[in-house]
Amino acid sequence: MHVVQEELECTRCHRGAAEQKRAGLPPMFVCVACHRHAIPDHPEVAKLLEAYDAKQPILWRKVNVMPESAMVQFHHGAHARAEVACTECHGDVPTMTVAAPVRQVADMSWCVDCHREREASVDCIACHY
Amino acid sequence: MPLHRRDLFKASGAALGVALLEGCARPEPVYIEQPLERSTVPPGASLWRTTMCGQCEAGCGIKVRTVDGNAKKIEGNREHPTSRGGVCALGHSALQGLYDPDRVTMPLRRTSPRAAGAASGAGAFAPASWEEALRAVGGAIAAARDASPARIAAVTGDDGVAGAIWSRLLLALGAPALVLDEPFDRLVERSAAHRVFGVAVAPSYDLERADMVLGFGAAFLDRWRSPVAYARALAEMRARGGRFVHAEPRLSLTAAAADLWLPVRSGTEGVLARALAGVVLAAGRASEEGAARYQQLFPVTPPDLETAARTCDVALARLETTARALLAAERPVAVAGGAAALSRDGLASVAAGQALNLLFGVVGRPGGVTVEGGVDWLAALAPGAAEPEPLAALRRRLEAREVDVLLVADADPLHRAPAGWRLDELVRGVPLVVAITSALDDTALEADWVLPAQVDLERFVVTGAHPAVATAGGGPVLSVGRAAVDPLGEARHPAEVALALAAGQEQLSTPVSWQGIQEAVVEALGGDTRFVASPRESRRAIDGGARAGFLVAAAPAPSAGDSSMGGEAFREPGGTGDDDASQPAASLRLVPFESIKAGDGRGANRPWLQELPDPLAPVMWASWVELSPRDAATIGVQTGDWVRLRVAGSSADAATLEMGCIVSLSARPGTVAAPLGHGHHDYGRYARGRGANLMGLVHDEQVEGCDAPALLDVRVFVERLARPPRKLAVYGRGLGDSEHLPRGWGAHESAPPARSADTRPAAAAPAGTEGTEGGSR
Amino acid sequence: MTRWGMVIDTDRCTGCEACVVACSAENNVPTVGEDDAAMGRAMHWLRIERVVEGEFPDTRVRFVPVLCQHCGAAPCEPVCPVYATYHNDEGLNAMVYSRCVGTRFCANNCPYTVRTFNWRKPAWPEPLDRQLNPDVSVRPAGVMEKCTFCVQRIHDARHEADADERELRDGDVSPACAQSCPTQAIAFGDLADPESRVSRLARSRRAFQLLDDLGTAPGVVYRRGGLDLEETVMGELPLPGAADD
Repeated sequence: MHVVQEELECTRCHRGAAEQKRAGLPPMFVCVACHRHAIPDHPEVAKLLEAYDAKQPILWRKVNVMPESAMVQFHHGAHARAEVACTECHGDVPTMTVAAPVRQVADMSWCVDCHREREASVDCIACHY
Repeated sequence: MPLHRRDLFKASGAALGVALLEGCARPEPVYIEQPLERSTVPPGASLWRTTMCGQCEAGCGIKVRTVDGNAKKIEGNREHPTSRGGVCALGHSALQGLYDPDRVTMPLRRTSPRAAGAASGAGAFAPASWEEALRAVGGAIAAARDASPARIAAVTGDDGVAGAIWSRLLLALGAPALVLDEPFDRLVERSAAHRVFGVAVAPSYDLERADMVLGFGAAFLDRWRSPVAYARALAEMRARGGRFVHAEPRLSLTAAAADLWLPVRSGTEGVLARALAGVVLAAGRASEEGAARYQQLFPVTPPDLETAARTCDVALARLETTARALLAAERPVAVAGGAAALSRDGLASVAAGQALNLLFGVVGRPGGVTVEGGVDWLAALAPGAAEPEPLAALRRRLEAREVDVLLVADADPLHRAPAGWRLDELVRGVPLVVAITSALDDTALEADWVLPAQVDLERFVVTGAHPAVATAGGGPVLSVGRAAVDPLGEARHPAEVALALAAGQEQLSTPVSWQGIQEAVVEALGGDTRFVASPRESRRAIDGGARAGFLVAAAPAPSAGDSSMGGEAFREPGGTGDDDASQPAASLRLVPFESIKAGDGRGANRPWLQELPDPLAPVMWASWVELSPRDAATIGVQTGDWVRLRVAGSSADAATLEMGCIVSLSARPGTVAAPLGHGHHDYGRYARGRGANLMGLVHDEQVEGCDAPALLDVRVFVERLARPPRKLAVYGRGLGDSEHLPRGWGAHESAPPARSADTRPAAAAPAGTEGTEGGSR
Repeated sequence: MTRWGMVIDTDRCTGCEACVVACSAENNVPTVGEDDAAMGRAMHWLRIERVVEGEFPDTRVRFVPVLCQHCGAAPCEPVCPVYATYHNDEGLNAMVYSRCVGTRFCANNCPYTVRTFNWRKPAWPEPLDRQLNPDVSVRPAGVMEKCTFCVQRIHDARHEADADERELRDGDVSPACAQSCPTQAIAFGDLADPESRVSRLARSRRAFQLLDDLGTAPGVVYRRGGLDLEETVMGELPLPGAADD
């Protein structure tokens, strides 16, 4: 919704996506900066503003989860640098109203196929360490 | 068909595998907390904060890796002029001090009465608010002021800004001088330097540009002054062909690194230093001025090497080798302190070591000794305040029942003082005791109020009065840095507690009103022209310093000391420590030392250090004694056993300590070496009851002419514990034998002798001797 | 092709153990407590081994930091039934935790005894867990572990070089132990590059390798210590002055 209607870049809010290991959530400050003025009356936005004013951080359910048991160190920025489009892993987020996972990350063959295709390392300790 | 190794897995794990996959399919939901405010770095990214390590007086430059506000790792700051990228084990472990699960994070008020044996840890306290705490403590101070301000006492281990702020508070209250809980050997060193060099500052040494280093008890690679900087300097010196000879009763890491170890009897370092002075004087190697000054301090003719060899119980050949190397050296430097300082003869011993530098002509020279202090925080921030007094002064005031309010910040005198001082009982008689600390240390357990202190990583930090090492440039280095992380819970800087207490008092004689510690630093530095040209530039200098992690004195170092000052002559060091033939038979001489594991005790709450096998006696999670194979056989113990230590000559109900036993090939027969800093009553789950506090064996032995206990003048009985409390954790991994090590590297320490009659020596050592038959080789 | 390797100068090592703690901090190496430690289950990836010669007063002690030697012909690798440990193209003896099924055959076969096993689920009671390095997986119970040459730091350095669009340079990668060493006794780099610092240090008469007669082709090279003072020319200088008179 943010992406399609407002033409926002993913990295505008997920600041680490292009470079860092983690894409990261934007701080509430960033959400609030727009939403004080943009649809402040929307019930979900109102919740956000209320929490921010009460200095209460919001807990978000993580959508794209790398299971801990995989013991994988995933570097988001490295994949961005390799010009893997956001949608390849995250699906068509621009058209989703509620973000949902499109890929089962625990499926290692999906990772490896892509690594092979792009001639990225398939050494186990490229990811598992 | 050969069995493929995966087949094994397939066969054995097929059924299990299905179950595991089932588990994977429905992962637990994961939640992440959305941060409120924009931070300087994206979430999950590393932010390296340049600051200073505050774990000891050295002030090494460090960088702290933080992720989402949590400290993850400490690494050395390569740009720092003295530590040059190094960090020690204690420094690394600061992270676990910061995140100690039993840290004091809010003010605690005592709820059960203080009484002997009532030290029941955290259970004796209830949480309170800062407001309540400051009101209660401030009220007690106000009441004491009205009655008699002399009955207020403050103790701190911080000789820097915080110490000066406490001094200013005491001055404003009209209370007596601050008590400085500093390392006892440093106290002796400063006293010696006052007479030898004319400055009461513990000297620092430029080992790197020397070509020979003579060590007298100062274990500068272990935990003395600045192990990181000295280790690097020594390595560079040796890489250029320099030599290192070290005299110390125990084979410490420092002695192990020496080209030649002189395993002297405890307390005889001074005799050795005197004999070497004789060699230098006789060879005409000293300048006229240096010789004159030296003879003013030590008017007696020095002993010859043979006498020294006998007194020190070291082979004459070794002393001759040392003397030859010394005469061949162009820039020798003598480093004295540590073990040499803490016997009855300590002051004269250390002075004899320090004074060698007068003969070498290296005072204030490159490759020599510097006695230039850092910023004089006390003079700058508390003009008119009395010089801080040693811990023994507190004992005297407590014994005279002259204290109504006792404030202790960044210090644990009850852990560090000899048991013979009975500080615990005396403190119990003080109506109000306040401990400002990050963990429930021995002092906090006796306090009425425990106030949560920030640890160094949460503070604005700056080195104290003792920048440990002079740089190659000659001037002192001031390490400085901002907090690396936000404080845990409600922890505050102890100096800010002092400021808050001052703010609560009416009509102070002098204001104590800085906005915070950083403001006080800016003010103090403004008056030190070595670091800033004018007071106006102070703030900018501090800002720049905090970014880099250090400030280097720009002005050339003034000549060290005032050599025209007529220092009072020292009594001839005689190695009186152990000449008493009336010593109880079969008693052993205690050789306490600070290990890299616990230091003076502050490292005990960190599992990394508890589980770190000591490099010389690989014990984990306990304290230990090091016995020679001969004494071990006599006592009937071997490595892994437990022993009980009892003070020799004391009554049967005297304190006893239980420790593990390591039989060490390097241990001097007749001695029992053991680490300090263990045996906390609480100090969190990782330290509680671990090991034994050696101070429990020290009574009234004192360094002559100095307010410091003579820890190396204690004799103990060692006996085997028939029922060991538990299995001693001795690190056992190793290559096992030396067959594959390079030629000349010898065997690994062999297993201790089996406990059988025929491996025991025919008789125990004669009473009162160290018993190596003159140390002949 | 890179061959990661390490050179340790035993003459510079003072046995201070800063590297051991640095390693534990960097790699989330758990502590096991006294009871398990007494059973030989301490987990250090790096230990300071001491070599003691002679009895008092002629004792000499030298220190040898011992860690996974990342052997070119590693005895631990062929015995793993599940390929959890293997050799990668850059000379690293890799350990894949998610593959390990805990047979402990590898530890049994390691002549350097540098592999440690998670007998229990490691515990970092709050807030100690705030220190954990997010770049290194916390290993569960039943899994073998050992020194990785700080592979996460190798990857990090590479990501950084990639971001700057350049090749890795000598000195870009420094494992936690090497970084913290006060005397810089530990050097790390590419042994395949003859110009690298480690290659230069390894080309020394003082160089040796641990148990090299076993044919393990270790990736760690040691430099032995110098001579005793008494054996050098210093000891033969004439001694003038008081003692001779």
